[in-house]
Amino acid sequence: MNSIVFLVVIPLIAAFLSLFLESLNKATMYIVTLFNLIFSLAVLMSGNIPFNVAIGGYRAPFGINFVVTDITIYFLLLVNIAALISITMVKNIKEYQFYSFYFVLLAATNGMVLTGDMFNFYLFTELSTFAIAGLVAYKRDRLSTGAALKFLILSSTASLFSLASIGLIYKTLGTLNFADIAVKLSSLNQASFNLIVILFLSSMLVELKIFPFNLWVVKSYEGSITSVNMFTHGMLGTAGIYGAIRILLIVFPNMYKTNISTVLIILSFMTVLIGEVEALKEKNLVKVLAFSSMAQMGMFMFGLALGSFESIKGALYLVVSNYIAKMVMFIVTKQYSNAVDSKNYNDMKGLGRKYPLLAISFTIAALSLMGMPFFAGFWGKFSIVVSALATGKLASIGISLILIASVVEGVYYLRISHTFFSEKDVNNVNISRVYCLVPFVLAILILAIGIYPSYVEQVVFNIIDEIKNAPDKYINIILSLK
Amino acid sequence: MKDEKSLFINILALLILSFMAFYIYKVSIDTGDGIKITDNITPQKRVADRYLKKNVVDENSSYKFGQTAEDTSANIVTSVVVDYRLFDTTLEVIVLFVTILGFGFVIPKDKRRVLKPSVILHRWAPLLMILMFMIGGYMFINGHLSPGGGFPAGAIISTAILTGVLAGRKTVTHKTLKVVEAIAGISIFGIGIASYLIKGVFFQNFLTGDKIGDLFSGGLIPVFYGLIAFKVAAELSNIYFEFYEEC
Repeated sequence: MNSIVFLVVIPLIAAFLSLFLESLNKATMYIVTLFNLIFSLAVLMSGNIPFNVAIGGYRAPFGINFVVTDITIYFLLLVNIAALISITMVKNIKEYQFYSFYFVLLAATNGMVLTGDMFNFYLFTELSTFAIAGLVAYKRDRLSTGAALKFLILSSTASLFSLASIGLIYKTLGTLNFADIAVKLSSLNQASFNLIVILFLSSMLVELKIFPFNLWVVKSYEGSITSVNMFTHGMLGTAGIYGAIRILLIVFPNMYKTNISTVLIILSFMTVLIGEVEALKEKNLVKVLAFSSMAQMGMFMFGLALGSFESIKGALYLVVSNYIAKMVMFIVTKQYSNAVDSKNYNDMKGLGRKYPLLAISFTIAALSLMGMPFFAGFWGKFSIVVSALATGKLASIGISLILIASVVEGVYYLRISHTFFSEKDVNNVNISRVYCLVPFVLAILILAIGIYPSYVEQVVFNIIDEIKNAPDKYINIILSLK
Repeated sequence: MKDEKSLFINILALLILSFMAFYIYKVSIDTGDGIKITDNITPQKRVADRYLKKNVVDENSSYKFGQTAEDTSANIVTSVVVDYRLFDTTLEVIVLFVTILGFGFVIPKDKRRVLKPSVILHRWAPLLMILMFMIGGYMFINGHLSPGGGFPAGAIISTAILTGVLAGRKTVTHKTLKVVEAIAGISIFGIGIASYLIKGVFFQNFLTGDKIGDLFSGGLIPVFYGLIAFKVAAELSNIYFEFYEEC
């Protein structure tokens, strides 16, 4: 399965071609994205998983390798589906730079998920942040340029730390391969290990939107167009989550024996608190979504930092529910705010009566984020709370925080839903009915996962199984290749 | 008064720096429980050991002049950068591409007044440029034999173009730069795909059979370095044009 490298190479070639294609750019965008999606589906169906690809013909610890295991293929599909849904929102964009950035972002997020090498991962992260910064600046007004600069400065500073960490890993262990690092880590002493993990975490936390590193989120969501918001959320965010799972749980599993996980739990509390409180008092719908996605990532981090398999399962459910729900909400926000030419949700009164499909999808997504039973988000919060009950003092604070956060989310999301359905005359508003279908299908998916979770349960079980048996299912696959 | 203050600040900065340097030194030789940034692994277990001996694929091969070990590049740094970890290098090139694309996208396009260059610079610029082109060309052609390579060669070539711009001589247009950049970029990945079609593995060095130390050795390494040099040169020249545009 050496051809898996096409997932990175084809978008990069398209990035260069888009300098000349002009009006054909949009068609190329669909072709390349569909290629990536269909290719990753074909890999899932082929039954060859897990496998390991040595680029350049040099075997694993010496050359760069791409690894496809269960975790990889599911996240690859999530990234590519997000890309396909997001580009349906792209309209009337003529600048070739936009398309170039998009192709680089597609290649970089696919590469982040596929790679099995530390420095390669760092480079893909760097590429994706640069591409996102360029896309955020697309409007070229004061707000979006400022947001792009803010993101760029924050992420470059963080990636400086992670580069230092990679340097330390190479100096002490003499290797850059994920699996090789995981094997050799036991020879490091505690203090050096902590230094490496702390430095590396700093760059992970920027993409995961955790408290001291999430200053970029709100401004860049506010300053960019909807499709870019969905790129940031669906592609960069998902790839970042994959990085956290792969690196924290498989490469650095010793983290749970130190107090770094405690620090992560406290940071996730701060993230949830700040996100929910700010979202409660915000009137701009896009900003509400930005703060809410921060809070959701805080809960994900809490589940991850607890470290038991039950809580990781909950965190994965949260990822899925947040992934679909935010997608729905961004599309609905775009349609409604274009219709009334304002992002304040108080101006959107009465739209839910004229276009009920959109408003109903929004409400379903909101209920799922709150964690109501029969919606996808319920299983996530339920598993995290159950596993936190058995853990300790700090975790029980987390339980109350999650429950309070659910109530707060209920207040602000249902307030918005109520505003949509309240009475007002909106005859001069026009939204094409075709665009109502995408969010409605996604909302039905949320309900389906909530009521009948066995398919997602199977996927999550496979992922947990790989984390549990990391030496068998990941490390030996890579290092046994000759 | 002002001088004394700045002297004091300088001494303070030196003290802080030497304190930090001492601490880093102490950390690096520490053998106790503290942070240890010395080698934890015997040299034979580090990947660099295999790189130096050029026996990653075949354990019996060794690095000798006139022999055919692995990629047959005499410069080991080059063989790490452009062969063992070639994929990283191609991505570095994309990082530069994205940065410069974003730069050209964001900065405002104003009309600028351009000063007339001096006569001396205008007359002597072609000579300077030819010398610079020669050094740049030498750098990437000999990248697999001596220190040098695609990135510094590209920087030197782009400096030659900058000299031309400052001297008021029309050398290349925006359009040409864009075409060069795209062709070089596409060919780098095109060779990767060609290698997949020929050998079944992406980015493998499929030109073999030459000897270490020859001018035409290293297989695909000089080709990649040439492409990288042209791409870097085109991108850096693009930035100069952005700054010094004669609208």
